[in-house]
Amino acid sequence: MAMVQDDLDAKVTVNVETVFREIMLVKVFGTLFMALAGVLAFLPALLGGGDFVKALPSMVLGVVGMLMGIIGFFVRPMRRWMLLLAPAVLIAAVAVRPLTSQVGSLNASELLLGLAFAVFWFLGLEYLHALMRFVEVGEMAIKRKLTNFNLSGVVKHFLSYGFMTLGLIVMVSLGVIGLLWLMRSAQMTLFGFGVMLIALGVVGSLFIMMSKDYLKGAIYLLAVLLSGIALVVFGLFVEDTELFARSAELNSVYGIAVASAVFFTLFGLVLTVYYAIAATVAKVEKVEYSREKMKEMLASGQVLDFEQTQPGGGSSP
Amino acid sequence: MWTKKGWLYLSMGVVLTFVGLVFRSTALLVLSVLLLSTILVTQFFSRLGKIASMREMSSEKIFEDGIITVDLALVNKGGRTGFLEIRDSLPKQIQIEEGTNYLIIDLRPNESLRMRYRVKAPIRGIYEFGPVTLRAQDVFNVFYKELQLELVDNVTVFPIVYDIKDLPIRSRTPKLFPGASKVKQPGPGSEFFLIRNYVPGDPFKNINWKAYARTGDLLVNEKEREAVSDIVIMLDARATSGTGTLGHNALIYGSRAAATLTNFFIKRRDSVALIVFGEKLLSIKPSQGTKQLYEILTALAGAEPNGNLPMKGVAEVSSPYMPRRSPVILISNLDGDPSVIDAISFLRTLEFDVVLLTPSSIEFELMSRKRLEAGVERSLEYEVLRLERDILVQDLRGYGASVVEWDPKVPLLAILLSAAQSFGRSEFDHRGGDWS
Repeated sequence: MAMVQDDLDAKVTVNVETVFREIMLVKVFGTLFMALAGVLAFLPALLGGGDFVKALPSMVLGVVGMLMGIIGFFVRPMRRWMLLLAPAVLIAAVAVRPLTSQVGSLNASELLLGLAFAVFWFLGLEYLHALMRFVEVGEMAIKRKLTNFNLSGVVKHFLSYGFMTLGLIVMVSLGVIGLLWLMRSAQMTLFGFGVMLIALGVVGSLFIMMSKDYLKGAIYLLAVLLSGIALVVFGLFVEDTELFARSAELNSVYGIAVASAVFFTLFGLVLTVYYAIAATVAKVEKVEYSREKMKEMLASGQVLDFEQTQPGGGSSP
Repeated sequence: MWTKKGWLYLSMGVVLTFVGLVFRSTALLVLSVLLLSTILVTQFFSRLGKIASMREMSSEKIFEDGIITVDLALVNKGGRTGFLEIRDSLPKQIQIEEGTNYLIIDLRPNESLRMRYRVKAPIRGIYEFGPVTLRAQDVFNVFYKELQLELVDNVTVFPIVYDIKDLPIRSRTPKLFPGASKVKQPGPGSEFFLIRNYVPGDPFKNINWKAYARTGDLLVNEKEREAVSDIVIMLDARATSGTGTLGHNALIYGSRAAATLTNFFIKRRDSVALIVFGEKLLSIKPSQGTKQLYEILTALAGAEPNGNLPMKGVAEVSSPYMPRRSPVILISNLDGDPSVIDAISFLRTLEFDVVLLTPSSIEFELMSRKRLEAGVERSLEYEVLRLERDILVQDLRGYGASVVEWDPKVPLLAILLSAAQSFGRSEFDHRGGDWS
């Protein structure tokens, strides 16, 4: 009996990057991000003017994590393992570095370096994962001889939308961390969360109403709006003691944890309500088959055929 | 919907909050905030848009090992999809020869896509192509939205039909209509049968003038009668017929034998009936022609190894509708049915010529188990099963059935030839009155 296609595929090795050159871009950027994440994992320990010997474990782990990540980009059989190990080792490198933050203080440079590490760690991990997926898809396209298969669209989408999405993520993260300063005033905290809820209510209900589900949209708006207004009104009458604002816990890393817990718990609740009532039905159209309609449908599109040429127009790998 | 990565980010976000607190690390806490923000933001970025779809297939009816070309057309009538995974679901028995049924693509508004792929169907059956599954991911693969397009097409894969030249299996009670089966009786036909004395009324053109000149008596030539013959094929599709692997079991082999025999008899202008029994009893009345051939092939394609109808009951229910004294070709593995002997005895009592093709399930199981454990063919269990089967076969022969044991390693044509020889012997024995 003939072997199944997957078995046959497994026995053939192809060099995807020679055919889909966009993958190289992911590899180069990813390596750069991973290297930066490795350096930023131990750099604050050195910049803080601390003992070099105490910073050594962090340096070793940072370099090892960075190398693991880079190996993941260039050695395919080890990629899956490195995808798991490199981020973990980099986190360990951060965790073991000597304490520089003080309870009762939170300086901007420390926050910025932390954010830079988080961003590059995230980018390194995402690019490594993306590389793994793109190579698999590209390999499949070559083995199945899919002419005209265009991976560059997917890669470009990843690069452009990836950065845009990351920008949005960083903004949200900064917003969460920024809550620390907001929370120094109980009144401002209540106002802030109230306004945030009102904004969420309006935006969420607009989303729901766009899918022509007006009743659900109205219910959602009312529920979130009322909660938001209640918080704002409560804020008007609260006695602002600033006891919490002056606390050592708020003015240190613990403050970030508190802000994060408050923000994400609140958002979790709002999203639970949103998903419980939002219509999530996608529109699908089934077209009865006819040769004319098929031609019409494909008039301006991609055709993935299986002629004997290589996809991407490259030479045989 | 959450991907594994989404769950990983969520758990890492929560764990890193605590780890960051334990190590008093600003970087880890910021990282945890970043991961949780990723979850918050990306869940709004997986969208499926509005997709129109259509599938074209080169053929909806093929024979085993046949190739079908599938064209799947999709048009994005909504917004840009970003990462869109498309999978045209295929049954596991179908093999992709060229092209792909799975793709990741970024479809822009009003952009269309045609996925073309060729598949091979090595095993008979009625298969469903589809539905088409669409899965849209956000750019970081944290969330996905999945949608099934109910675009389903059926493909019937008929059992493979081998070409056979001749099989001396025919009914002892022919019908009046002229056919292609020689029935060893004088009558209308094309081949010489015997010479007999002239009787008034015989046409002059039949007088053998050479014999008259030689003997002085008026003798006439008689041709061998060629008539339509009724053949009944019974296929055992009980659950035990599925013993073995997906591609090697008694039902698959039996279906091929039944299809080959049907094709041969229909070409010979015989009338063929089919009875498939398993969970239910399916019978197709005797008839001739291409329509009958395809009706039988479709029934064979759709036969599934299910149920456990006793063969005796099947014989009792079907026999009143079976043409008298016609050959009954029974294809069964004979396993797990204590009524086999009674069934054969019953059919023989009603003067049906029973040819029993029996693909051995023991051999099929052995074939599949040999891959897993060495020396299984020398095991005591195998020997005992073989012995039991040999005794059963001997018993059935004792009742006058022509039993052909079918070793899966032996090609089908050799088995059918052996069945025909066996039938010939049985027919001769019957006419001579010796059923031993």
